[in-house]
Amino acid sequence: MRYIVCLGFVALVTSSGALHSHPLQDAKKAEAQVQSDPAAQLKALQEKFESEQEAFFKLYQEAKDDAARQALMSQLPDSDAFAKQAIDLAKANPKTDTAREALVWASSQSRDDAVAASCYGILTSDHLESEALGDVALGARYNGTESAASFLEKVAADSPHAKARGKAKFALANMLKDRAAGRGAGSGEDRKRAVDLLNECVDEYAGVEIYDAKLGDKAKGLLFAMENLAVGKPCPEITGSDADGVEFKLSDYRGKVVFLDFWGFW
Amino acid sequence: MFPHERSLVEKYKDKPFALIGVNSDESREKLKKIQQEQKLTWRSFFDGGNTSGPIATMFNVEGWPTIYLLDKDHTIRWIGHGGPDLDKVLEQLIAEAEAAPSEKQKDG
Repeated sequence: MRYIVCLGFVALVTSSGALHSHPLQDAKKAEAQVQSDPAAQLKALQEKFESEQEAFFKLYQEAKDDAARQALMSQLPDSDAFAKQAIDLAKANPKTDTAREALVWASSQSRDDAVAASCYGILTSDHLESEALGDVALGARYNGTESAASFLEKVAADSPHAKARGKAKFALANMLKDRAAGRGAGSGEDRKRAVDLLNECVDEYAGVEIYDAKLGDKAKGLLFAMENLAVGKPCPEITGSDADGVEFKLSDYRGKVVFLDFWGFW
Repeated sequence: MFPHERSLVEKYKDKPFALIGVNSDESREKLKKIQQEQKLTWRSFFDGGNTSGPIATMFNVEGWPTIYLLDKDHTIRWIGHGGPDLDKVLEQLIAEAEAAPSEKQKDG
């Protein structure tokens, strides 16, 4: 996920030297200022992550083949290490705006379930009043862990913001639907709960905006998909064309087990 | 993800199995280039050049990759984003397909 680096910190560092003739002293002063200012520390951390990521993607784009790309993977910036630093910053400045921003950011960067879990834990206990938890909830919908599930339950039930509750209900419905689809047997309750949550989204949170769409429309689409694209239903026919523009259809492969793979290279 | 998919195509090459992609990259040219560079031997539908293409929309796909496993009669048997369950279910579906002839073959 891309993060737009706030230019405020850069301006702080560069402008402080403008009226003086001793850049080294000014740089030290700026550094001291950053160290005592949690918000600036967070911005510095995000900026460092962003520049490491940009440097990595530049190398990755330039890599000639698979082997070169594979070799590069060890240089991929460790997003969990950055997330952990942001969590430490939040812990050092509990219940502040900076703590909240740090945790929201850390949750979106984390890959490790344990790191995400500590974000969810503190956000639930200290920042439940924040509307930003709605977007954290949407980001958590593919994380099928217990900690993500209880985070979503809490935001869905107790957030003071309708927008955040709606997003959390939609996210929870997605998670339960995936769990029901993956599990096969014994998935009836998860599926039923997902349908109930989506109907709530349609009835009570239809106007909430998510990803340039309305939550009500998204929820209706998902309900349709759950009814028609569920395990045990016949797969709808797909007609289209391949990379060369040659037309083909799914039913050409009748009699064969099909691994239908929605993919993109980005 | 490509190494795993390549290994499945190799593993089941003599079985009643097909891997079919639905690609959401921005152009046929890019799709073709990736297929060549990444040595993807299976066929993909080109889905209109973005993530809201007609096929992804019909299937309500919001996360990539999303995978559907269909049995030999194209009943949906598993939907998800990967993980160990996928391989287990796929193994089971291939075994089922080999144990029983398809509807089409029975009719004929």
